[in-house]
Amino acid sequence: MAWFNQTPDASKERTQRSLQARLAAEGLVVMAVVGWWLLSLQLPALIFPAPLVVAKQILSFFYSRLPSLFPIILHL
Amino acid sequence: MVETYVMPGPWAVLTRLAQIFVDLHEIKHMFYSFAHIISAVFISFIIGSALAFLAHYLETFQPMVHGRLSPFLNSFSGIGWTFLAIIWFGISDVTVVFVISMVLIPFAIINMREGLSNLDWERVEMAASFTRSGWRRFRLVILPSLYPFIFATIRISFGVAWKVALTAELFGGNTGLGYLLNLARQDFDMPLVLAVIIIIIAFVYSTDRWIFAPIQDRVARHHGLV
Repeated sequence: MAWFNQTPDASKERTQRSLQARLAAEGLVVMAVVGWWLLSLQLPALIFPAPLVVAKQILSFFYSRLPSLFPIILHL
Repeated sequence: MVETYVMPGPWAVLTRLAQIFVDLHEIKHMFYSFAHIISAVFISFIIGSALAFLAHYLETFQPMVHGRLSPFLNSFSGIGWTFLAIIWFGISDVTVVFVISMVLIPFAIINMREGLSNLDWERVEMAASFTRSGWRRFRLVILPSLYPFIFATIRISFGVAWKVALTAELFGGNTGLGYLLNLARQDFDMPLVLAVIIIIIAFVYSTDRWIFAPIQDRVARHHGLV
């Protein structure tokens, strides 16, 4: 239905539903990360590392490995 | 031309294949693999279908299931699940079933989503005018319309499950054909490696050809889907 055909109530309901859906989707991601973090507090890092440790590891791929790639890039 | 441990001849492989079927210990591994796969296909189908139904009937959950969960599971590598499961559950049957299930869930979600979005809503509406019972409408109209997608899900899951099962059993299992393959690799028993591969090919092909396809045809004919 085009926006100009919608009653204010229908439009409001659509926005509300879309907001709820977005909240549920992002809520799942937030809940998963919070759950991961809480579980990591209970378990040893060897079994379940915290999200921050994993994020740091991902970042380290970029800043610690990139300089070693420079000679290859320069050679090309 | 090459050493036997690199590429054994067909006769050596056939002899080893015959030996598998007389050795109870090796037959046991075959049944374990089958049990892992059946359990994982069942679990993944139930979870995947439940998520697809949830997203279909409650619009609020659509972006959550199809926008977040499904792409996450779809892109998570099988080997990644295997290593995580080994650390979480140890080397056991639970690890193998968990890994296969996690790999198969997105297949079930995507297939069932397609099935649900292809439902003929006029037919569903017509069913609503015949009965007020939701369960009857589901059992007699919605479920039969989903049969082609249900069978597609099960057939594709079964094929993929064998591929994943071997890797999962190789690293995280102490039973199954993957475990047997690992032992064979360690002993340089190449005829056994090839025999296991032949068993899997024969098994997947014959199950699909002589079990799933006829059941699918019969069900489709019964419900007038062909």
